Amino acid sequence: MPSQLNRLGPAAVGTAGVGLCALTVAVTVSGSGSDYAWVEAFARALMVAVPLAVGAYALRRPPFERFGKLLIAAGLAWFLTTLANSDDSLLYSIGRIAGWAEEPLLIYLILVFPSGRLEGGLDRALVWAAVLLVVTLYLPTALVVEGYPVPVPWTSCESACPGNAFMLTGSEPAVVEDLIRPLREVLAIALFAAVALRLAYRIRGATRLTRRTLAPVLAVACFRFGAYCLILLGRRLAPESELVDVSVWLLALTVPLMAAAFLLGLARWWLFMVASTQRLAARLHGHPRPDEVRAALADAFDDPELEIVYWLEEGRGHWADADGHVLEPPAVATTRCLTEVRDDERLVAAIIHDAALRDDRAFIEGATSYALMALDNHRLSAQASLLLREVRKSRARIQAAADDERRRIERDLHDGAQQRLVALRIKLELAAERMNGDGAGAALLRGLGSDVEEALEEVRALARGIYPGPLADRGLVEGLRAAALRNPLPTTVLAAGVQRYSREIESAAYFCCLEAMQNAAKHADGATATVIDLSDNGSLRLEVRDDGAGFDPEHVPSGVGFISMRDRVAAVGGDLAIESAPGRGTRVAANIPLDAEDR
Amino acid sequence: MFRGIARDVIAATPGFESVGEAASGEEALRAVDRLDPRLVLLDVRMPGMDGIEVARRLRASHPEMLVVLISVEDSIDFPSAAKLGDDVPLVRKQDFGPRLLRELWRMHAP
Repeated sequence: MPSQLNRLGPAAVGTAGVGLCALTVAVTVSGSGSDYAWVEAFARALMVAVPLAVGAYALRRPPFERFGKLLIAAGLAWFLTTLANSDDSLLYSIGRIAGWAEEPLLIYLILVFPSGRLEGGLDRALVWAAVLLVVTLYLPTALVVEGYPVPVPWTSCESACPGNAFMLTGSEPAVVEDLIRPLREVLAIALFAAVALRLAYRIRGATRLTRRTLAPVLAVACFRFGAYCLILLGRRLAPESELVDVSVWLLALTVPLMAAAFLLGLARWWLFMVASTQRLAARLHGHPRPDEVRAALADAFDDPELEIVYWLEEGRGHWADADGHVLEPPAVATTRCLTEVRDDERLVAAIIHDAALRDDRAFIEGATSYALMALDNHRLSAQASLLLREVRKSRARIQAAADDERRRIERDLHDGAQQRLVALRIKLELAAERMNGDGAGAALLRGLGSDVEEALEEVRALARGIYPGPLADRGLVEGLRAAALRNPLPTTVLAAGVQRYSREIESAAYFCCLEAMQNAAKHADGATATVIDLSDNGSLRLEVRDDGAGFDPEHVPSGVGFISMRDRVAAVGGDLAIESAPGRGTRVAANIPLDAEDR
Repeated sequence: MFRGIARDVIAATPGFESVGEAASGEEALRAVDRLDPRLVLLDVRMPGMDGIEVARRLRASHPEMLVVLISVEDSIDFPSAAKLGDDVPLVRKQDFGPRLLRELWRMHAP
């Protein structure tokens, strides 16, 4: 049936519907003996027409095509129930049996609205319970009863109704009337109450959108339950009164009313969708930032805690936030779920949202398609941030390795070669003394001693250039002060709150300042002094100023190691700025963050 | 290694006798308390407490004792050593010898 319905359009459904309604009217009018035959016929026709019409409406409106098909099938089934208005026994019996199938059908429709699928074990259990009820307590009785009970919603025949055309046994067993009928009535009402409660529970935990969609259905379900109770009461307390008749008609009317409630729910869903996506499209216009996209989606989904994670394809691929920090795996609490956002097949990002929104898959897909381009851009920038961080770390490692090597060389020189040369010098002096003063031997030894001293001096200068002892032992300030004393240009070192830092930071700051100092001494014409200003207020700031001739930043003189200064400072996550103007001196300023996170 | 050389130099200098050695600043302070020498030769670069700190403490606790700082580096590299004043001479390791030793004692001994 469903595949055939695929090919039928709403127009075909409409044609079929008109035909069926006409049949219904004909059957009702011909079978009814009352004065209100035409009114009745109209009411019965409604039972067929409204579900078919609503089904046809939903058929053309994704994502509810499935529900539309179900509703059309239900409309056709309900047509069969109107046969119960016929005089003919066979038609009447068919109609009556179809009427029994109405209850599970209605329950099924209520529970699958609006997606067309049963969600969860409880819903499935309720539907199966209804089917079981009909199969065990209703259908078998079709073979043994003389006539069907009245009054019922599907026919207005009250007395002298046609008999059961399917009766096989000779007579009706008493158990049917005494036990089975009352039992199944109670069970049917109880089951319907359970369904109504299930629906109410679903609404309670749902998003605003789902509530708006399901509320009309719940209202009609309660109305139907009320009608049931009235019938039950009426049959027990005042069987022949008008109350029972009226209640039965009310029950009959709940079918078209339920279809109308479905329609209302769908219409509300669509209105909400349209308004929401319009707002979303307006907010996502242009180049929204990641936080703006998140806010827009959170607003559209009515979920303030909505999160967006991006899929980075590097290697195995992993999830990350907008800054490229890897989340492995993203934290999804039990009441929330993760919905992937894809561009065709390619995974771009995912949205972590309230699990209740799972039902609104079509809405999610529509909303995220608006955000797709922005999400893809943010994904790329997150990837870039991640790569940039890795490059920085790699740079820092390389620099640290180079500096460690230097310190090792300096230490080796100090502990090894320098000490030997010192010892040699002293021994030569001792030997010269022993030779008692002034002979040629003593003079030779003293000459050797001078040579050794020169060699020692060269080694020391080398060690100092590689990695100065004061820097390693006593830190940045002492190292710079020692270097300042050697500088031909008078240099002052000012320090405020400067402590000891990691090797990488101290050596980066030291060599940067050293380079700047040496530049000032070599290239700054007319400079009288250099000032080195160090301060620590959360990050290490250093400044080297001279009052020399300055230079034009557009034409940097060669031999000035700005690139290496910049590299060194950048390797520890800092930044460097050089200000100079002809006649205004030069200022080199660097800022190194001390917070490990930023590096 | 320097301790060996220093020992030789002291032995070669008449009037001077080596009474003890230490490998670190803390050891030096303990040795001084135990041995009560007249002259202490300190390497500026030592593991743990460096020579300058030891010199400062010794000046405070034993004012009549002569403390001499020795280093391979130039005195110019130790601006903070200058704060200790002339009472604590800073000499270069490679200059160390009997002549220097006698000179120091002559100039600074109480």
